Amino acid sequence: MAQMSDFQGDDGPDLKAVVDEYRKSLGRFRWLLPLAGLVLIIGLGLSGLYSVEPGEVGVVRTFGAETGQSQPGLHYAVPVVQTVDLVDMAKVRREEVGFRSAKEGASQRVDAEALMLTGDENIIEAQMIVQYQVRDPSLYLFKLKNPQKTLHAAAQVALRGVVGQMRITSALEELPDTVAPLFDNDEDEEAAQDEAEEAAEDGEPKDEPDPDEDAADPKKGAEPKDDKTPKPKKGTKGKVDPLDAMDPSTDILTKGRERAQLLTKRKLQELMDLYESGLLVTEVKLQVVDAPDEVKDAFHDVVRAREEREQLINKARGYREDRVPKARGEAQKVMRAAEGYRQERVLRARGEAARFASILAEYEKARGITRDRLHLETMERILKSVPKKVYIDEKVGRNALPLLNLNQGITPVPGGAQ
Amino acid sequence: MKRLLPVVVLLALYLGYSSVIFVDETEHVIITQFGEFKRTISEPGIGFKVPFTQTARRLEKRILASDARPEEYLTADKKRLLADPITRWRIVDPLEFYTSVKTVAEAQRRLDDIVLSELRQELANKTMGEMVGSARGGMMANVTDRTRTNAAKFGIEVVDVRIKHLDLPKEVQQSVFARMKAERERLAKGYRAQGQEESDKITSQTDKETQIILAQAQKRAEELRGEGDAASTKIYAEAFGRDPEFYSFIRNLEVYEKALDGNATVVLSTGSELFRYLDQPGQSPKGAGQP
Repeated sequence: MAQMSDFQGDDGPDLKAVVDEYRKSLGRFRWLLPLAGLVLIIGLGLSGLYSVEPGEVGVVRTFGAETGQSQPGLHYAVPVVQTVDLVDMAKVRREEVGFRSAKEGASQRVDAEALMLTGDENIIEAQMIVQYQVRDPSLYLFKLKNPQKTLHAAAQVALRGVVGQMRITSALEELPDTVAPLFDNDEDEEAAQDEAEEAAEDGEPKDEPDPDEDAADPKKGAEPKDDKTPKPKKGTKGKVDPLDAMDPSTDILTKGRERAQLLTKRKLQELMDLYESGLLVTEVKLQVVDAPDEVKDAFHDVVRAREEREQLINKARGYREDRVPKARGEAQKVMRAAEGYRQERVLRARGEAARFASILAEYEKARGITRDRLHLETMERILKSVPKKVYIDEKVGRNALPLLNLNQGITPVPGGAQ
Repeated sequence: MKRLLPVVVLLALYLGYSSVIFVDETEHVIITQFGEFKRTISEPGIGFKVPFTQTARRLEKRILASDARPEEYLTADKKRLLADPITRWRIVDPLEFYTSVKTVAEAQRRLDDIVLSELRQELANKTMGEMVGSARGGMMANVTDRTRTNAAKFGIEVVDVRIKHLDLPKEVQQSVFARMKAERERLAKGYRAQGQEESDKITSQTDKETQIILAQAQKRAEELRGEGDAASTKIYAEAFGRDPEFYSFIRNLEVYEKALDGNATVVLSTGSELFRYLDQPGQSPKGAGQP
């Protein structure tokens, strides 16, 4: 027992043990009583110390009423009378809508939250992450019961409100700019024809038979600039609404997604302000915006079909890229050949004319002789080169049967009669 | 006397404690005396009351939520919708609140009843398209306004009524999916057809253009050839025109020479001009130009 009393005596605060000791030892440990009291009081006093970490704010309530906020550092709150709530202002909190993250990055879809109606009565699946911070710690602590749950619900309200005003793409998207035809109508055709002729006469191939295309391009480039200039005028207060800069499309699945994100963020902040939550929505990220599983295949097939469309068009363009230059080359070839022919004809004519002129000059000097000479010379050459010659005397011919063996003398022309 | 001192001190402490109330930032306190309402303390901090006879009741001052059960509603165009409204509210008149509904749970029940009936009424006038889309904001503002008016008698201020979920009943969902699927199939077909169309357009345009390019070249080529022929004809005519007879003579000779080559068999009459000296030398030729 004595050992035990020694052991317990050091701790002091156990009243029953102290009283027992007191009775048994008749004051042997009487000095312990005030000591225990002192320890108790000091302990209580020290328990009022608290530290505020960086990024935190301590909200102090005295008798329940807020009396101050404390910045990072060591502080003292009177025990019992004052209570302190530490709020992490720097922490970026996160709320998941439409899904819940499980361990190791996997996530579980929550159908009731994820599926929603669009303005054109279609159903889409959306998953969203909301990031937020505490902006006003006293509002956060005292004005709204369960701010986190409220944010979660309000995020759904906001997202569904926005999605409800958007639509799924249901119209065929317009084709990207199609190939500008080289010749649009008959007028152009004539113009092009003239140009081609000019080009042919210049002897230079023209790459672009439609020079208007080049002229139109700078105009196209200038138009968007014209559109943008009035916009800063709207924001006379100096702030440009990023919403204006966005694609005004309301297609939630494609172009309108970013817009939906921003609208949701604004709507959510509006709601959270209305509820005096003291929260600041820093970011709303649409993680998944897609068709529900039931129709996903059909949606993906549309994407595939669109790609196929592009593929077909590109293939056709490739054909065009291949054919048009080749045709131009062919055209050049034909024209050059013709030019060659023209040149050749003229030159030959000139040559022959010159030859004739010089022969004529000589001929005119001695007409009869030259004529006979030319005739005889030609005959000589012919008769020399011809191997078979048949001479028939007219007188003989009258008496004898003039039989000519054609089989021997005439060789059939190759590839002729057959 | 000394023995009584701690008892007195304890008694005094207890008296003090039961006559003081700490009112938190998040609450209203109402003081009742034997069940009879005395006053409300809404300011946070220390408040006082008469010990023993008076009791303090704490009521929530923060904004609260009331999430009514999702229910099916019929829209003006006879479509069924599943709506899940959520109401945000707070106690502004603790006495009214305490006397009429007492607890938060009861208040939520009453509020939900109001919201559901208001919503039903409002939805009956709207088509589904309006409901889902643009009209939702205005409609919910109406519901909020009327709920606010109706709930005022409970000492409640309604902050807003929103629809958290607005969905189609399961079986309707299936038909929507079927419709969406059909729509997508139509789109996919459209894209493929568009691709084919555009491809054909480009291909035929290309064929047309290449044909034109070639035809133009052909045309130009014929023109060039014609020019060449014309020019040469002119040159020949000018040159040969100086003595057409001699030209004809020379050309004839050339033709004979070309036509009568190594394969030809020539049958000649000894009576021809060429052999006129064969029998009778010394005779003059009959005429010129006879080969």
